[in-house]
Amino acid sequence: MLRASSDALDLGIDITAVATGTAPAIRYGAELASLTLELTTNTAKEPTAQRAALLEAGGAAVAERAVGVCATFQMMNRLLDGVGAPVRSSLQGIATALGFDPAELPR
Amino acid sequence: MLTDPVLSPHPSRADATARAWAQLTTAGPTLNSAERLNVIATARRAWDGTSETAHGTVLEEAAYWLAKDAGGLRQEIVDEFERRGLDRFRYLETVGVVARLANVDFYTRGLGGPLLALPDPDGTSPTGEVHPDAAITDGWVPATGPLFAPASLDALPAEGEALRDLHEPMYMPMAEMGDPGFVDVLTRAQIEFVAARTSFLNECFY
Repeated sequence: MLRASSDALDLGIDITAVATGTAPAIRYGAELASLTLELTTNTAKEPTAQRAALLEAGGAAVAERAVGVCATFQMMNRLLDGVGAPVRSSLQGIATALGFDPAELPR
Repeated sequence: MLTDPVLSPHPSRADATARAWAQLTTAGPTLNSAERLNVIATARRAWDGTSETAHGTVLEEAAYWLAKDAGGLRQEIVDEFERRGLDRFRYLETVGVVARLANVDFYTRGLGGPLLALPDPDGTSPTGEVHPDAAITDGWVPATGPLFAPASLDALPAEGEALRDLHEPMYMPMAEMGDPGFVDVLTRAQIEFVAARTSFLNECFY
């Protein structure tokens, strides 16, 4: 959906930012990238500094919303991996763009 | 329910979190309340680092895997769970509990509040409610059709409803899902960047 949104609105977002973690060309891109990384990978601690940075840049409503989206995909990732859902062939182009060989995806 | 978070939750997400927590901490279709609380405690130990390996009962082992490395699960591992006594419906319920717990706990932690306290088991027994047409389709678990995200728990109808009850306020209304120009306090592009980056970091390819 990131690519679909970028294409539909002619935003020119480079979706490889998803893999590299570099700030995408969206408002608060650097702060969103930083908060997402910390909340996802450092599961024993609060993302204190990253949350504060997004709070300062975008305000409380933006930071709260971003936390909610990241938390939701912690759920969806575990759900789809846990049930063994097959990777749809329509997603293979994105996998290639992000540096994966579709034939080597686990399912 | 969230106590003194740094960021206040949106009212719709606070309500959804409270409903999810109440549902998670009582008996489900195949697990009693003590078993669900055990799944929650095991997942939390995986996330907070107090447990660094999967061990214990097969239910605890599955909960640990799902919390820590769901992308590393394989058909053979789920087969082994079943051989050791965790049948596919009980495994599916465990998936749903850990997944929804992840939403609740990562949200709470992200907002800067303490994790919701585990209650004592309420002594409730499994409801036994499973969908009469549930069968293995294109994944590892019983389903009511091809597996797609919002319906992936529907072999256990109450769990499917609980998933959607949390998913919609946390992500976006189902009716808006197809709109690439959706905007609330974030644009669709901002929402999908966070979603895609999270999935990449979790090595989830859907």
